[in-house]
Amino acid sequence: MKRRAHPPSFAPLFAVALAVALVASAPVHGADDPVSAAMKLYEKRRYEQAARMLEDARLEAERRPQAQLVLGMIYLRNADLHEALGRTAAAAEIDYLDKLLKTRTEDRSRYARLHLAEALLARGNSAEARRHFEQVRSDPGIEKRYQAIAGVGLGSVLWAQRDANGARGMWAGTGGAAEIALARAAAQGGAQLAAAKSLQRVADEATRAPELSPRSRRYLIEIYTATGAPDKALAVARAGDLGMASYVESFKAVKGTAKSINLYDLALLTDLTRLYRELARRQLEQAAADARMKPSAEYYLAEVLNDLGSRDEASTYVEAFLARAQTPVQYRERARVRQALIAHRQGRRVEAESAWTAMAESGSDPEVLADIVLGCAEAQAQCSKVLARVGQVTEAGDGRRYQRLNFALGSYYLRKKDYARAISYMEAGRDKSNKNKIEANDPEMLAGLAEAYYRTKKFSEGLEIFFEMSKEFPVVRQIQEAMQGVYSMEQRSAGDVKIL
Amino acid sequence: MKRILTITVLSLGVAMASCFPAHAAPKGDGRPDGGVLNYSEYGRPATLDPITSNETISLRITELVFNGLVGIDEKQEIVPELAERWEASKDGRVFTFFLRKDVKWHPREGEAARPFTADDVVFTYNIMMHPKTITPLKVRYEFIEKVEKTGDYTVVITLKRPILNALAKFSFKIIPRHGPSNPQYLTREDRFAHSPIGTGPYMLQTVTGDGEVVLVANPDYFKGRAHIDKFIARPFADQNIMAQALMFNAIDMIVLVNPRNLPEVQGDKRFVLQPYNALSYSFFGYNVRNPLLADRRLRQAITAAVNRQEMLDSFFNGQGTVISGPFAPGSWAYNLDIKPLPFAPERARALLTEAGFRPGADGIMEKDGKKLVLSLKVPIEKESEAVKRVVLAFQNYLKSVGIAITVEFKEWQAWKEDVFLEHNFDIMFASWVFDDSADISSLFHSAEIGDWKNNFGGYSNPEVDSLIVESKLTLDFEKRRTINRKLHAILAEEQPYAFLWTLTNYSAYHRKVRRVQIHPYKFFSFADEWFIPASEQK
Repeated sequence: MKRRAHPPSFAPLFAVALAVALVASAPVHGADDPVSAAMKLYEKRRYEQAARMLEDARLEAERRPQAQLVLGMIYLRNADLHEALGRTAAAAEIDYLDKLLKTRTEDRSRYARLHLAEALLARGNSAEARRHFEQVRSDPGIEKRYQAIAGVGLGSVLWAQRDANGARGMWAGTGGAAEIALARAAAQGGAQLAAAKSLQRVADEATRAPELSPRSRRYLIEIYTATGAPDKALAVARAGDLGMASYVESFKAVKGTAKSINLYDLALLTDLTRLYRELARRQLEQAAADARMKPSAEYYLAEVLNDLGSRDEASTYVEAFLARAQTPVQYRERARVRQALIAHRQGRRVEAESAWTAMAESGSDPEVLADIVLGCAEAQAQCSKVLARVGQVTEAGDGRRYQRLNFALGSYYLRKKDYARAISYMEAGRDKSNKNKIEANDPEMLAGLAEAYYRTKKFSEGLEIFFEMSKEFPVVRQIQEAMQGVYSMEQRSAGDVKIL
Repeated sequence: MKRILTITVLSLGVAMASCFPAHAAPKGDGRPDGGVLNYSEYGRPATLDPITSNETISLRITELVFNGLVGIDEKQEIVPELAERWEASKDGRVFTFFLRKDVKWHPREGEAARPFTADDVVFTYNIMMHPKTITPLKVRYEFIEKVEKTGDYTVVITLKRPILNALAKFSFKIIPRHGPSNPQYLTREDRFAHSPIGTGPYMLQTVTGDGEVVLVANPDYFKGRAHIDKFIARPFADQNIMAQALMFNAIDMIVLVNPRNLPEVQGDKRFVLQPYNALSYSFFGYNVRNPLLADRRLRQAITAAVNRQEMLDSFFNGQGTVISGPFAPGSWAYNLDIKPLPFAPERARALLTEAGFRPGADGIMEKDGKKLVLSLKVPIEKESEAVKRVVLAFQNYLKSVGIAITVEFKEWQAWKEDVFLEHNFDIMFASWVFDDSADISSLFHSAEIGDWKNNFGGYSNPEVDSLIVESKLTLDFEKRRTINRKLHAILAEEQPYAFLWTLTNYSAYHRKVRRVQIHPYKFFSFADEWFIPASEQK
């Protein structure tokens, strides 16, 4: 479950310390105050601009904890967004790469298989990934270095399949060219098999190259994030165009136009998600060192740590938050929802679902209900009583206040593959006047809606969403290209055009 | 050995055909029949036949009245319609269609309904391709070598070459051999173009003096009688009034909601807003027969002089996206590398200077003693408040760089005659809407210059022609994408249009209308399944 602060209601609702500090600081610092300005950008979902504003701000020592808290929140939401984008990207890219492999033309893509293997690995399907990596390694039409990279990928598959010796053997057997060394270091970093310093040395060495390929850039992000150097990872991410193809496969034209295919790394989205979570954790931990920021920071830390898989730590922070007096009721409820999610992930499913049901039946706050539904979605729980209750509330409610609840219900049904219902709820919550604008509609919701449209073959609706989103988040280019590719193959139309 | 791929009819289709061989057939799905659906249109259809029409108002009506050999369902699957099954040769050149035997044409008054046969399919193809038939369909079907009847209910279509997505092309609507007065070729003057009969779920009942098109359910529809008794298309000249009409229950559906009315409609729980039709865009199109406009620099200057984002924000509340080229951003063919030309009045002036224009005493540019004055023609049906403002702003932007624009609003039919027949304009304002195929051949191929053809501006570029043809010939999806990206780049540079924006497109309908699925392009493709509960039928 991802708890999202609803921008218009955020400040008054929560963060005793944060709200007090922000409000109190406003008259003193005025409109140019970087923390206030960053909050405004955050509310408009301009996460990158908001983060940079605070990173670059020269603040008095007294205000730094507040900035750290806000920065932590910004990174956290950015991580959630990239995770959502990763899910949507996986749907489109795996389909697209699979279709490319099945193409029966003479000029069939060879490199689609490598990218498909990597995409499957990134999404945790190691069995299928293995099959493709093995085929790439034995394909004489593939450049040697990419065969070697497939070998590294195969090592990661073996590691995921708990064959540590096989993985080590595979990684040891790969060659030494710079990109291959980076691939290996990234894989070993992910497996926590090598010392952080030695991995960072490999990465530092690579950054001295006059130009970095998108693939190398992605490995660097992965290495630096895994070895506790998220600042360096962030610098690498910002130095390049995240919308660039990882590989452009060009074909010679026998006659006419030469064909080219842009192939992307799906893992980039996974890596960025991890990176932003690590950055969020660090900022929030720093903010928590300040007594005034501690309650707010702990609230968010519980979320970050849960998402990073540190359940026990997350649980400790939730309990600490709940133990405090004078925390806003709504946020106490939301912390309890998260507590149940952590319990669910720790295997206490019945306890978690009972807690959600009880909260849903006794409450009517749409924000809390939305958290519960998102928890159910993330835990892949049935939550039938919760849904029955929430359905009633949503039916009766109206307007912006229920936007997030509709989004939560849409997300639930999206995960259940009930795409028609997912669309129905998300469309109900979508601000139609600015349907693709991220200021008016949570980009996470838009990403989910685009996926539902994609799954129901309403490709143009999905593409339209990402076209607008690409202006703020260039990384969605990979989703656009994949959706375009599938669309071009799947569409069945006569070739008509009319005056509107 | 010739291997035949056989696609068998859906079992449901077989069952229905055998259950209801010849007579009035309710759908038998337990949903009620009855009720009337009034929907608003932004103008009157120019024709009601599926061959000579080139606008969406007609398209929506013909979708209710006619059928193709095949249909395309909401899952993008090709499904049987007038053909109950088909076979394709291994080389993809020969398609044999086995037609349904239970389909009847809508009866004309005082006549019995006639059966649909293979003769009608052959007739449709022949009349469509006749040199004197004015239709945008010709360019789409030039890949067909011949259409032959091999039995009363069997048709063989041979292609000149295999093409991508061939089956989908056979969704073109079939018209009756006994329909048009002139069996050789079809024009908009033919009685059939205004009083058509088809095989579809709805039959034309009347066109009223106010331009309302009244359609009634076809009791003999081969898929079972449509649930809703009557569809009435009501023309509204002003889009703003449509929303009021919806609010006061004077209509049940708006096919295209004015962006300004979206908040109002969204705020009313009686209505559903449904997005569709993301593949459209607005533009100012140039007539390059005018030697001044034949100079690319002038066209580029016009685009550079106009602040499209500001117009979009000011007049459409920012509810859309500025585009860079000939495809909509929701299309698979849109080249994501090509960014819209920036608003740059200084660059516009520089381009005009480079093209030989100099400012006159009144600030208007001149060349060879002639002032740079261009006519702009806008259809009156588009005379919404927002479009008026766009036109006015366009005029002002251009005036500021020394280009004078004289604006003329014309009645829909007169505007079409000026633009598509007489070519009597310098600049026109319109919007195109595309189906999913991203086929721009009829807009920019030089073979499409001529009376009533879509390349109204007379744009001709051998490289564009060649790419369009190459795109049609290739059997490789990725190559086609590459070609279309190239086409986008060239046309963005060439600016045969000032490509403006794609707008938010929503339809709105009353919740009483149930099971509504809207085809993203043809709109009413699934309307025979819609129904209104008995308690809510007027």
